[in-house]
Amino acid sequence: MESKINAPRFLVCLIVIFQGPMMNAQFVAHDDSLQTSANTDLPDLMNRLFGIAEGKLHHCFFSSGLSFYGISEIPVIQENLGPEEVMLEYSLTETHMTIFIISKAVFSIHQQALGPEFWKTIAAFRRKIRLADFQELVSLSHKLYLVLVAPAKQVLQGKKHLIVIPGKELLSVPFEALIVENCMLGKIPQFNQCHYLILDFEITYQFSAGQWIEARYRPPWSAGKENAFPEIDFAGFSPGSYQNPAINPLPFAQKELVSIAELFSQKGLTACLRLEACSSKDLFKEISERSRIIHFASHSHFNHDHPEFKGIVFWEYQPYSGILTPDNGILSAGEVESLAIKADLIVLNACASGSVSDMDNVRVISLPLGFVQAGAKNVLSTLWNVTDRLANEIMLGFYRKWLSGKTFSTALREVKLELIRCRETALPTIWASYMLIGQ
Amino acid sequence: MALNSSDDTIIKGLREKESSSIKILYKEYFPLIRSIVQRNSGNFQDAEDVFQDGLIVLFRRVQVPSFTLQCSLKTYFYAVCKNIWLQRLERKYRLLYQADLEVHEDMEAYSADSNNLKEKNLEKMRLYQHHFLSLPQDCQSLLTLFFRKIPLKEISVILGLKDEAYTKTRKYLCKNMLRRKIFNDPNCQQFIEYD
Amino acid sequence: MIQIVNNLLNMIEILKMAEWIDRYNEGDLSTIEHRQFSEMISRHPVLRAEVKLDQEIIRMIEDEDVLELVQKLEKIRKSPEKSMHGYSFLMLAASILALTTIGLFTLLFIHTRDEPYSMMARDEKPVPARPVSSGKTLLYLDLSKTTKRISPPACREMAKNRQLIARYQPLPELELLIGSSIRADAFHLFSPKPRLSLPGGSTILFQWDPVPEISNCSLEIIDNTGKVLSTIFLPNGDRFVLDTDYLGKGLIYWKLIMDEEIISLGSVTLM
Repeated sequence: MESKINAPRFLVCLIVIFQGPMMNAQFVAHDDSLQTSANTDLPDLMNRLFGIAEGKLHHCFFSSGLSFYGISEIPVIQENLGPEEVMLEYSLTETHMTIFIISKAVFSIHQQALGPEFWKTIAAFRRKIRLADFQELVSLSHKLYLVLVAPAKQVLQGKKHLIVIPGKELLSVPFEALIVENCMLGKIPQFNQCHYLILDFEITYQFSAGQWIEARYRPPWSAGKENAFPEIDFAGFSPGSYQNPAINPLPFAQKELVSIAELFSQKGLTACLRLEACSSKDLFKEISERSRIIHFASHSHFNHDHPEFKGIVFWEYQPYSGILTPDNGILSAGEVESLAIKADLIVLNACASGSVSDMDNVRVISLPLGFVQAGAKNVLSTLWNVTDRLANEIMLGFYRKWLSGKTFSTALREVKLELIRCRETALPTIWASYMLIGQ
Repeated sequence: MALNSSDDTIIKGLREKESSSIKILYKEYFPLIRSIVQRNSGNFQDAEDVFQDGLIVLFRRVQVPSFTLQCSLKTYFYAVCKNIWLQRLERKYRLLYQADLEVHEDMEAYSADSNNLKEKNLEKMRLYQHHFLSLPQDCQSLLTLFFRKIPLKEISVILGLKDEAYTKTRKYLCKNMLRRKIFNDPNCQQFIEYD
Repeated sequence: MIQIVNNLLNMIEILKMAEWIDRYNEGDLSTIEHRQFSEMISRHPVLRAEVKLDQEIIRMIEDEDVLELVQKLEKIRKSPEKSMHGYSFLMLAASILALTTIGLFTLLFIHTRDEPYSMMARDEKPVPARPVSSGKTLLYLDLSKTTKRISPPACREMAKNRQLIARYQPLPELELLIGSSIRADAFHLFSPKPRLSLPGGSTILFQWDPVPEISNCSLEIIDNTGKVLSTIFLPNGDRFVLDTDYLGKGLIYWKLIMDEEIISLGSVTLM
């Protein structure tokens, strides 16, 4: 498979012909700190850049602790990418970032040194966007765009769909909310006038290139009789009620599920709702294997001392019982991984359901990751707290669009664009929390 | 009364929106307008606004082929602007002003007789235009082309935009930007009526 | 969009409505759609006003000749030549006066949020002056060099009222976040109410269900331009009393933050 060279103008380039599974592919490596000429000893240089000796390249993919496929999968990725799709895969260490930019015709690598300023910017951006803090949000967002996306600008020209594989460190950065052009028009930012990345691209995320490939090869929902367990097109769970003192009531959560179920039935599709006392983990497990879309409109539980018990709250939840086991009414990531799920979409419409915890820098705890590993093709989750009312309205808009024939990512993007148009809902805190992992 | 040659030149130039004619009008007539406005509870900015509105009225008038002046252009323009300012005072403060005016020539030459000259409309349009002209240039171009009924596809080619869908989104954003500016301007609130 | 957005339950529908208005004014509706929409317009005054505003905007943009004329006039006004005709001294003096006055206002009024007119002598006249900025804080300055003239008393009152009103303008970006419960099982805040009106200088009680330990919990106070006025770290316990004495009058927002997430957001109008 032949790939074209892609080289930003401003850097000295090192061209390496890679003999092996890549055939005639060419890498272009860039490093701000390297001033080199083509006569430099190439193997040493490549080793220094990212340890490309036999098998070592795989190491940089594994550095985040998630399972990745190695560089020999690049042709497979390229074969599966559409003509308008680009994959950006990030690999970060404390001092360096490598971006693997893959499109159907191009594969290139961009590497740059990172200083403490970068990590401060990431932390400040995350903080300000989740706390609806206007000050400096626009400039931070634009700075991150310049570092994370601008290097791929040439490859991105003419493309419509961005697949982001953020790596552990960037999993909580909403790429859609990165600002392409600084839009400060006076002291108060005009959030509805900013040029967000979502204006230019449909953006989806995945935990690894390998999982992205796997998901592509999974059979579609109604592929054949042997896969056709499905009896339920939409399964909704919401325990939040006034009857269970342990769970703060969510007035809009049940309304959300009922409205969505009505939309499904109008289209002649089946919907099954498990509300209040019926919203138990056992009943969830009973129908999870035969539901096309599983939707949770519930609370999230966080436990800073035991992040492995973070998850979605069910009816039997007892917050202060002192019991910390999976039986405590919380569906955790570990529990999900062991299920067999064939759903096209899992919706975790709860606060910060997509947040990631780090277990001693080795294992990553993430509910969406658990669902993906259990077999779900797509997971829609949130990166920070969402209000009950807005969560309801955003999801209604999303399903309306999907049921009108759009893909999940198009539907989500259109809902977000509608929110951006209106000043009252243009603040990224409101719309950028939702992240679609999958196709 | 025959126009003198310089008035005629100015009028012809104004019809074609020539900068030189506008410049002459501004240089020679603005001090007079400023004087009348500031002597009647206005300030410099009010004078600029009144001058602009008067210019638009004059511009529309001279487009009519049968337009003739019964007095000098200066007198006519002065009367237009005076009328505009007095109507504005009356509308805003519900007070009738007996302006202590310097009378140049035949003031009866001018009369407000059409919707174009209604002061309220003038002020409204001026504010809307101000906000439109403060939009980014690409927005102005896009909206102008759109309201010329040029198809979105063509607009995207003309402006070098990605595709029709993107152009539609940009048009929506630009229009909303304008609406937000208008709505957030306290001076525009008076024009938004709920009947 | 003007007041319709307050009907939060139909937010997405309202955005759709803006599209309808566009299509209606662009003549893009089918016969049936046109009839339905015309009926809606006849029944809803706010929608009627929106449609009318849209039509006026279209009319204004379509009048390209006038726009071109205005643009040329603007260029002439801003051209450097103008300053050579004797306005330069006046403008310079006016600028110095304006800067001095802005400085005085900033020192004396904006910091303390006190009444801006209290320092002006009674016979001064901010008459009918124009705002120099279209942002939330409006300063009225009389840049005119001409001396005394009689101004209607109504003008002063109107200018004063406009400035007061500016401090109570809601911040649209935060309004939708007020009062809604969040989908996390964080603690339950039951006081204060999401929207309150109180006399200036009142105290506000924040009270929540007791939790074994609250960590990283803070209260942020924000003004109606989004500026953070203060951040207070909350102690352990189940209540906290906020004294609003230092905040002056106007609309403020409060944000309860725990572990870098918003738990609750509300507004208080201090009168």
